[in-house]
Amino acid sequence: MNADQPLLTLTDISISFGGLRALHNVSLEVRRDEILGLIGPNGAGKTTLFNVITRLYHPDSGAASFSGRDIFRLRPHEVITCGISRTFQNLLLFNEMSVLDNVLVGLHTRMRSGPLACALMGRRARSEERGMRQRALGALEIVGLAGAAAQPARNLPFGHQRLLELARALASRPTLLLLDEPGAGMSTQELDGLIRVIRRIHEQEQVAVFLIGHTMRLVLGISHRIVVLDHGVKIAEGSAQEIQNNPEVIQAYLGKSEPHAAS
Amino acid sequence: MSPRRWPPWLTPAIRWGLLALSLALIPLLLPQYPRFVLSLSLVNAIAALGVNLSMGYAGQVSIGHAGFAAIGAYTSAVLMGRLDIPFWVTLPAGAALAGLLGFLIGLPALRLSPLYIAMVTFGFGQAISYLSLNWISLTNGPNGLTVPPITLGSYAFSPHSFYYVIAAVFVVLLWVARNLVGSRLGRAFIAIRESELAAQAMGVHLAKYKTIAFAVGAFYGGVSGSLYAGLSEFVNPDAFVFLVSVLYLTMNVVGGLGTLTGPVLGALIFTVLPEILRPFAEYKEFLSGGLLLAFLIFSPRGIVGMLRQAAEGMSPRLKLYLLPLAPSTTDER
Repeated sequence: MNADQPLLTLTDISISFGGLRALHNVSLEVRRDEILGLIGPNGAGKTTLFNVITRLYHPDSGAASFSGRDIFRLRPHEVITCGISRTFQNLLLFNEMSVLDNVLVGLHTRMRSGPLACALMGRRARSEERGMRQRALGALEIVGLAGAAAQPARNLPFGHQRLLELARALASRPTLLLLDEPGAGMSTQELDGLIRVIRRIHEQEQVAVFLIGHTMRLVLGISHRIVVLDHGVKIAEGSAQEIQNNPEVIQAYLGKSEPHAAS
Repeated sequence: MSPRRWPPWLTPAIRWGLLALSLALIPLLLPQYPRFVLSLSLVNAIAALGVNLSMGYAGQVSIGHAGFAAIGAYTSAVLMGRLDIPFWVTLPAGAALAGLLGFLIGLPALRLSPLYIAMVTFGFGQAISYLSLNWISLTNGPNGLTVPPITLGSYAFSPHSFYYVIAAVFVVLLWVARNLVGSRLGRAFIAIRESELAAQAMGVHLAKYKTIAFAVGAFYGGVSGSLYAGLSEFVNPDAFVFLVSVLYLTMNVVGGLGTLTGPVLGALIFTVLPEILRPFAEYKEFLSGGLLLAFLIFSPRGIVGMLRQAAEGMSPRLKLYLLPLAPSTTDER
């Protein structure tokens, strides 16, 4: 595969729910070596776009190609196998499981043991289990949670739960990581930690990151490029600087300016 | 990675050894009838473990598990009585048939909400109940079937010595359940229970694992039924009515859903208690129903959950003695 070719290409994605047009002809690319930010006011269709990529919604029209594969032919559980992993805006952890087991579920598709092997736990199943535990611990180390591996996930403080979800998504070594508002509800201090972690993941694991952000601090501080959605339509794309000076973006966020104030 | 909860000498091997040893020795201290009750407890514990695997771990409600036990029991009784097939063949056959039916029941489960899954399993239990009553040419209807004595070579088991067969099967199935719970499969089950959306995003094929959960739970039910037939030497529809399914559920809720010790403890309680409270037999359902409600309202995590909670603030030394009763999934390996 050509390195210059984008990792993910979305072409003219449209989807509506009832009468509501959630996405309209959205096209964008995620490159192999970038962190791409996605911003937009509430209800702009950001999470809907993620749900389309991860096959929770089937679009009315449009095409999506990931490393040359048509992802709209995949079923939801197959998405991670081709290298796309995600986190959720509203934190969907397996609360009653230990921190380590949460990450091990992230390695589900990397394990081979079938039901019978799991029932008998022979030598091969046990050695696979051991290897995967090491790998899961490695993912926890990257986000700085290795010390909490044995705790139940529900006992973690909120900011750490977000990091755990990140580790779980990361464990399968995806080539594209979709992060849905990873910093939501975090303090400024936690946010700075998160920025460092995402940068480190991006560089060390060589994974492309596509992230939705509510907080400008996170998205502007970390993204190489930014895409702006408003009412399901892409209104701008470019560097942080370009986005901040784009009149359409300002208008989408702050509303239409009065004629006399504009001059 | 985590501090050890108990000294290294108490390794899993030793714990399993202790379990096997106590199961082997305890009956020597018991007169015949209590030993029969203990056998029955273990038979019920196997069925309760099955309910627990589908419901406690994978979150797929089952209120028709007596149906799977009936499949196992009638498979053994019919094959042994009519075709002279040895018990040792009918046991896996009954379990496999129950497992297959569990798989088929699980197929529609993907599209149904929990309430409707409960109704499907309920309907299945009722259907099996009516079949066993009315398919007289096969089951001999309400009069039931006598199960021929179980032999191994020239040795014929009595209900007395059959205890050891039950205990051995119980230990193996408990060990298998422990393996499953701590494996890729068990984690997929729990993940589905905790968040289907996240499980799916991590690559868990929901339909596949839900049907596997039903099949495994049903398999345990089939084994339990087949052993029941061997123990009681008689099978009739009364043994597998709806209330029995509810009882399996109650054992889990009171013992602790989603734990391995819970259903075993629950089975022991709800098999032994009615025997002790025989003079008040007509209040039996009232008692188990009352306990079910009380635990659902006040302690949905059951006895094991209560113990775990109590242990959280305890000194490491006290934990050492208490926690083996209530191990969590992470320290069970």
